[in-house]
Amino acid sequence: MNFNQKNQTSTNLQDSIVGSQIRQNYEGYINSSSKTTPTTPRKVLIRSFPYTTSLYSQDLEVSDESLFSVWLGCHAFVIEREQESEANDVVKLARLSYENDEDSAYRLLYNYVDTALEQHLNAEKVKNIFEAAIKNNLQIDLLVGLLTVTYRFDYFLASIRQEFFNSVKIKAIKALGETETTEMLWGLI
Amino acid sequence: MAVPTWLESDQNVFISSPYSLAIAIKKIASDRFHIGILYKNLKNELQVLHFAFHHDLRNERLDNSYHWVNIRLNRTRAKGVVYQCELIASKKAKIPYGITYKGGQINKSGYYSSALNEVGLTCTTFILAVFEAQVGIKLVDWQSWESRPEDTQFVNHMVSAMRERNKKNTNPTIPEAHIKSVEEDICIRIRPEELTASAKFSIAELPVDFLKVQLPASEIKAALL
Repeated sequence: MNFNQKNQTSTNLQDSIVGSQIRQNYEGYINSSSKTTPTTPRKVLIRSFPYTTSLYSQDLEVSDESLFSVWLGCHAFVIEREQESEANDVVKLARLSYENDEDSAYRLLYNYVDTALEQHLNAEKVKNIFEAAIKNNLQIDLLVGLLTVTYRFDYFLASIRQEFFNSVKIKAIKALGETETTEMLWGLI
Repeated sequence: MAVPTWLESDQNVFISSPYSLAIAIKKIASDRFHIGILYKNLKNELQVLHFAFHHDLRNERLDNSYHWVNIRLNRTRAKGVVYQCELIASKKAKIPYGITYKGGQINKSGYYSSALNEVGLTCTTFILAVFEAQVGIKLVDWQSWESRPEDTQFVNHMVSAMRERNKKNTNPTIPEAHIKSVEEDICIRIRPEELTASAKFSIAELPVDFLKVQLPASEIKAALL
């Protein structure tokens, strides 16, 4: 059973309630004249964010791109949620998006990590994302993407990146072999 | 002289190749080249991200004036770099012109962070600033570069070009103090053909030093000038 199916069975009732709530607020977000000014509807989106993955392409029938827009729209308020579960949600959404649209998955992760570092210099957030990425079996491409986007913050994240690098290397060697892994990870640490 | 086999110019070949990144080079004067980062985006469009001049960063479709050398980077690894290029391209970075590289970088937000005593970047060192400082691609050991007497002529030419540009505009766009800094800075110039040539080496051989890159750089020069 994949993540999507699991959520479908366990949250059907919640989905139907939260789904309509998200739909309303998503429309509110899309129609909002200022997408940079935080609004109350977007706060509701955050609270229902865990469900958006199971509603993906079903109740909402949104494309990856618009789902990404929803995510971006509410991103500013993500801090309201517990960081660890937030990291899991972001990684699961990226993992799911990647199957249909690599672009959205990359941008989702890049934007999240870059915001955490560029604006807040928040190593804890990045550490949570790294751990969630390994735990949730994020695709190798995206794991390498995470190493790439955090490269220039190595001075600040050295031990966290080293630990993540080692985990990615082990996964990559299993999947791709030693030679390809060495080439793929060249220069990243 | 024949064009080396590793110096490519067929767009279809690049599109169908496993590579997504290259250093693109073109002749812009009888003795000078200009270079940029050639990348293949997800739509298979070929774009060149290049630093044209002072405060003039461009992202353009590849045209027939360029040749290029593929960076033999793993596809997965290259993908992350392509995204970085696209993000940098989407910002309007105001990068000052300056010749000697001292380790500056362009961050994803599009801002240029100069290294200590660094005046600005060239088309060549812009690529170093993106690759080396931001995504871990070390093509050359830039600290091994040597100063050459003929580079003084290049400095003089660029200083004149900056003053010329100011004369043409009603409002000068390059402060005289900046031009003076370029003029007075020590000159250790990494030439476009040298950085381009470094891409021909395998990942295991990188970064290459000043001496190692001279032969392939002279081959590019002989083929394209």
